[in-house]
Amino acid sequence: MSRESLLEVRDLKTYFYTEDGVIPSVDGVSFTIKKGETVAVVGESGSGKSVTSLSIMGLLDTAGKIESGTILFEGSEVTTLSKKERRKLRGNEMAMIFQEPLTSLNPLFTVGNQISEAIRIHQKVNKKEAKKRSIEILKKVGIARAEKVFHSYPHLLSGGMRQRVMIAIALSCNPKLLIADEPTTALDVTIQAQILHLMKELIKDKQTSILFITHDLGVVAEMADQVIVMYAGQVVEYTDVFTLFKEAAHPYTTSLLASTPKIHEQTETLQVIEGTVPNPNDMPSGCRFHTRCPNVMEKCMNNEPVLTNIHAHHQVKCWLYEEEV
Amino acid sequence: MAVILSVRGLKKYFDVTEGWWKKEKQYLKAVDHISFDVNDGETLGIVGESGCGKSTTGNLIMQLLEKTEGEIIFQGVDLATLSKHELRKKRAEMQMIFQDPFSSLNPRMKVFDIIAEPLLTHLNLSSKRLKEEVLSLMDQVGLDRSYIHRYPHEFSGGQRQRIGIARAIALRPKLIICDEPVSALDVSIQSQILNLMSKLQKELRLTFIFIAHGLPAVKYISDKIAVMYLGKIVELTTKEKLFSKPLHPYTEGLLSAVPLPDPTLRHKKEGVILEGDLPSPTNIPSGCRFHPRCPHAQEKCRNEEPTFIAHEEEHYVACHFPLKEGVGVLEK
Repeated sequence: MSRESLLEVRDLKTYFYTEDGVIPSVDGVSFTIKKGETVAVVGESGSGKSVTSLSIMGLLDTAGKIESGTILFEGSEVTTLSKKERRKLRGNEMAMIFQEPLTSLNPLFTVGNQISEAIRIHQKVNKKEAKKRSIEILKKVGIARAEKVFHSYPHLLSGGMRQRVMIAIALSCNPKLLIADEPTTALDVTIQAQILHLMKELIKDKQTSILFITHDLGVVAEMADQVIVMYAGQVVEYTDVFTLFKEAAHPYTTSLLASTPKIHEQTETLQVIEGTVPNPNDMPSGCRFHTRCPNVMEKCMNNEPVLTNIHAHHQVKCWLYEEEV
Repeated sequence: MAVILSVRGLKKYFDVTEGWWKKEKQYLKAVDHISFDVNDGETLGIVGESGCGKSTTGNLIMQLLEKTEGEIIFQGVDLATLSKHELRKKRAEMQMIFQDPFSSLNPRMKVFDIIAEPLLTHLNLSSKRLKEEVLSLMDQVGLDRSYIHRYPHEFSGGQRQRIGIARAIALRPKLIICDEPVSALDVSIQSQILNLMSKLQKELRLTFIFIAHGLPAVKYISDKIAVMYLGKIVELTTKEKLFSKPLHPYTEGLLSAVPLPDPTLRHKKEGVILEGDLPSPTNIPSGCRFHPRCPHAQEKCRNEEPTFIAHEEEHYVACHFPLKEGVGVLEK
């Protein structure tokens, strides 16, 4: 299945300049998203998964800077665009939904106001037409009584409804790329199931690509085509979802899978990853996972492995597999 | 096994009447007549979505909230009959672990002071014995002894949760109520804490009430599980029965909503996606409170509230029409 690629990230490095020094939050990340494909980025806190998505959207705050690397959207470089050109792209071509729908909606404006704002900015239509389109899209994301919700303020809605509104805003201009940063983490599990189902339905016929950021391997298994596993700002494994859950190769990925409690299997004890995620301004030398790795070897401590293909479409950054290539 | 804690007809209504001239009082029924037993050395998991009353239940048992009605019988004694002084003594035998290890530890206290505080309050130890005791507690929960003079902000979430656990087990309690102890932690840290908790349970013969919204963690640690919905327990049984053959449609929906970490099950997964939102606990639906979201709701469900009864041995359910072929996730 070869599809056209929509987004190509090559060797992206995003550093934060803080009082405590330079923090390499994202350190050499590369991946490709094809049209209509869902790519999941998994990792724990501090792995750099959110910063990767903010770099792509161009929403880094002032302390953060893209050091090097390229981000190609439909073949053209976006990191060098001016702010104005970036803004045009954002919302129209790529849109983002966030974890906490209450803080990402403006409490002082009605839902309708916020959806039609996006439509009017990007599609140059009049107020009446924008309202019509807004209500249409609210209905599409499964909101009953869309006309009433159009005139409501965000605080009147439940968490699930707010996330539906966020999705409505994000999809209002038919973006080609949707970045979803932990969109269901703050929601209850039955509501999460509704939202995931909705997202799948919405992208099915539109061929929208999704970059799905999450820490939940269950959500990954449910949604993703391709999976990127990140650890301490780097990609440690990159493959398709079936290979990942069947033949995970990196010790971090296998440990992460083994330490996840599963409701469909009987487990006596959970495997544990010892230690904690390293501090970003004090990264371990060599392989960044070596301090917690169950398979650590002499050379892991001083030499950094490179991301290599162990099979077609299966990349692993680990010394265990270096010889096999 | 002996019953260590019995809860009978427990209710907690919060008065949410707005304006003093209103004649009719409005109540938020956070916990609405629930009953259960916990055996000595066992773990009871309480699961449910936000607003179902699971945390309120924990706080009521701990006497952190005053109940509206009902009985809480701990080790054969109704806690309501105790004087303040007696209750304080009894409290040493029940402890709590909280969700957020960032806000549940005093930022101005060092690790030593945090862990020593319950010992100082309840026991009369010499300073040498106190330090020995704190150090041995730190060993038990896997905290390095050299951390004793550090402040909470110097620790990661997982280590802070270990401090909280050390404080909770300091007085050798019988019962520990764990309110979402791992939900704020990363996956790899969650498993460390869960394993630590089950290790301590075996070593110290602890009884746990494990409150959480995450079913996988609850399943790992619990023997029995109570499912709550809008202030009621809708189903209560052993974990095997609950996960293999749920009787209540809400439990079935809850189980099928959990994304399984196996992409090959993606399309095979049966079950239902529950529609609609959780109703507000101030405005509880008539009859069975789950009926607006229930795919099997009938006329009777709209008018008559189901009673919580034993449908089969060790399997309690509050439903007029318990599922005959409930779809679980666990193969028998």
